[in-house]
Amino acid sequence: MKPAPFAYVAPREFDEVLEVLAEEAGDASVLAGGQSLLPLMAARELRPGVLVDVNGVADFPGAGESGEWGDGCFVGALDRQCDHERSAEAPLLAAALAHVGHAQTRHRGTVCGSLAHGDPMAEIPLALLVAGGLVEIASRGAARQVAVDDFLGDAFRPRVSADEVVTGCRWPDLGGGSTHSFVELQHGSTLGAAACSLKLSQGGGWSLRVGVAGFADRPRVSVVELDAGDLDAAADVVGDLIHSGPLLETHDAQASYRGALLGELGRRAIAECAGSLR
Amino acid sequence: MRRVEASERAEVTVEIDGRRETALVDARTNLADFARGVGATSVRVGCEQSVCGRCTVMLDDASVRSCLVLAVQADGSRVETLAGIGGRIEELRAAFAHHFALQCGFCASGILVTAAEWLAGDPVVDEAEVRRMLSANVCRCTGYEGMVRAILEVASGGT
Repeated sequence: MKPAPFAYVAPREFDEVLEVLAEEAGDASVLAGGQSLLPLMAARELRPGVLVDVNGVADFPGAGESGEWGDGCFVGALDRQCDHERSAEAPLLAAALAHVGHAQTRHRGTVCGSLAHGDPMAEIPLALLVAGGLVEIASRGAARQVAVDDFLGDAFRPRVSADEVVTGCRWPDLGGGSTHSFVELQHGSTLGAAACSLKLSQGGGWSLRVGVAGFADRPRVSVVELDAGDLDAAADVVGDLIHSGPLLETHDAQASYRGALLGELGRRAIAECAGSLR
Repeated sequence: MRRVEASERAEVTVEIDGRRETALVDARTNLADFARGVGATSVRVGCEQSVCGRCTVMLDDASVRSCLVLAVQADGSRVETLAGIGGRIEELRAAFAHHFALQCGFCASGILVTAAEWLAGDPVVDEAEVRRMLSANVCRCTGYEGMVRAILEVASGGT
């Protein structure tokens, strides 16, 4: 199918993007890579009146223009997914991207666009959540940073206003010696995913960050300290996460199946990290 | 700042397979329809929502789904379709024929563009990688076996 008619605007300057978004009062969508937005428009599930193509904007703000940025890897608004597939600076992002789309969609799809799209099954928001990252957002005359946990709202409704645009995200340095994993099950679409980061704490225990997606309206993460090697306790952390609320039920996966699947994906993600821990 | 109203048409010029092609398009016209409209009919249109891979072309040297690029976005860009990509495409064609890799052929142009880009990228050559690469494209006839054999043969240098 073809999208419903829309007006197309292609600003060249960042300030123009903010002007257009402020003036169009909620009828505009930002077009970055378009790999999620355009299929939904073709299916007429979304009908924005104005598409604001930001691909030609040369002066998106860089890291730290809206506050203290700290360490870690900054991923800008127009960074394509393919730019970070082998990133050593953001290893969780690289691990997640191995499961995102295909080469053809990663050539255009952006990291920040995936965050702004807010698909509760999507890999990139889960990975940023486990990494403990930040999202940088701007509107006319204002800029703010928000922890990704606060950024993710209900499914497909991240907490950004209609006049705001995501300008970047920060992937913290999780420390030397930390290991990373991302596992996922797809049958046509993604049924569930788990991401993990693990390192030895100063006391010799495990510092574990583990998150899952595919069980609720948004991904969730747990950050805990455990006795080193206690895989059973780690599995319980995942179980508590999955059963923290009602489990999503869809035509292709009933709730009990999702619970079992995500528990297993979590266990595998943690085991993979533990296996490569030095 | 370029603006194309919903009721307007915009002039778009794209270099397709070495020819400069210009057409008037709606803002919502995708690059696949633009290409077909100016005669680049090796580009096929299937699902129009990124699933099937029929419409795969090279846009400024990277493969894309041309159904998910607006023609106005591609204004001033360079596109290669199956008809113009070169590289190892002749070896691929011969191997596909030898291994009976295609039946109806509707998926052929997308798959050959995908495979040609993969070969040019100095890939790890094994069956799992070939199947992963092919997963970007749907073929409803063949079951992919002949394609996998053909691509492995070209990738490992023999014909």
